[in-house]
Amino acid sequence: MISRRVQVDEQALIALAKEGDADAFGELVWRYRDTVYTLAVRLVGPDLAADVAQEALIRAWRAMPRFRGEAALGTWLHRITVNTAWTMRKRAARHETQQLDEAVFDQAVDHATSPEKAGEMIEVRAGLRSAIERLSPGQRAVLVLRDVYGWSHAEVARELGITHTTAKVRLHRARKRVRVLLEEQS
Amino acid sequence: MSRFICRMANTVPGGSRLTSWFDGHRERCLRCQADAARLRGVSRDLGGLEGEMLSAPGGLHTQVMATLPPQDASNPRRPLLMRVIARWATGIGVAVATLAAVVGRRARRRV
Repeated sequence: MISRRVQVDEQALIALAKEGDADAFGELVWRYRDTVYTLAVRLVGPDLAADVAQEALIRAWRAMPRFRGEAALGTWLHRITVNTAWTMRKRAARHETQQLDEAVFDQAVDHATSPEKAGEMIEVRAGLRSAIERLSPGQRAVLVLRDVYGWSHAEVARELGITHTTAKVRLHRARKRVRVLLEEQS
Repeated sequence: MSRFICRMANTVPGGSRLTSWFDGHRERCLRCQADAARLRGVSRDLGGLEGEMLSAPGGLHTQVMATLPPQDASNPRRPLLMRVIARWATGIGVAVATLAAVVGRRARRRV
């Protein structure tokens, strides 16, 4: 019941934002800022993530009249974030060697994790994050979108402007590289 | 030889017509199956990261709201091909302008 009310509220906010209501859009930004920022961190690292998230949300505001509601707002924002991160990747390349700040991830909240498994999962996730950091930007983007967010190969290819085959090859290589890096860590 | 085939099979993703022979090998070879299982494990572990949510910087909301431009219904996902074309067009434009300036200066000198 509550979820349906939130959904209805969101539809109302979207309708208002499409008509140029900045306050309604502000509420949507408040609701989605963490998901947009999290995706940005995974794609470009924490140094550039805030810039990518800000640019993506501004692009979303400019484009709100085009939003037809065919996909969920969260999905639409994710696509814009990916495109923004990808077009800003030259700046991201300068930060390629940066180490992701562990403190950034220490604040990560996972509502689906039981306390018993938390310790084990923290270790596994730290290893995965470290391995993802060491991938090339292209491999990282494909791996994050496909394996972390569950996008289809077609969606990944379309959003990154690469062919279906390239997406599959990059994913295969990225998974292999991550596996090798995880084995090195252990 | 078998190890070499395994290596070849592991360098290409499956599922395409070109690699169908390797797909057949992967179905029969225990070493390749073990390798594929490890990759599936990596993929499964990565899927676990989806539930992990980071907190956006405190100032993000304020910064976004302070810099909202007018709505113009522009395409939020700029087509990458258009960006490449725009870059090339800019480069060609600059080159043509430079050439025109050089030719113009030489013509003036002759006059």
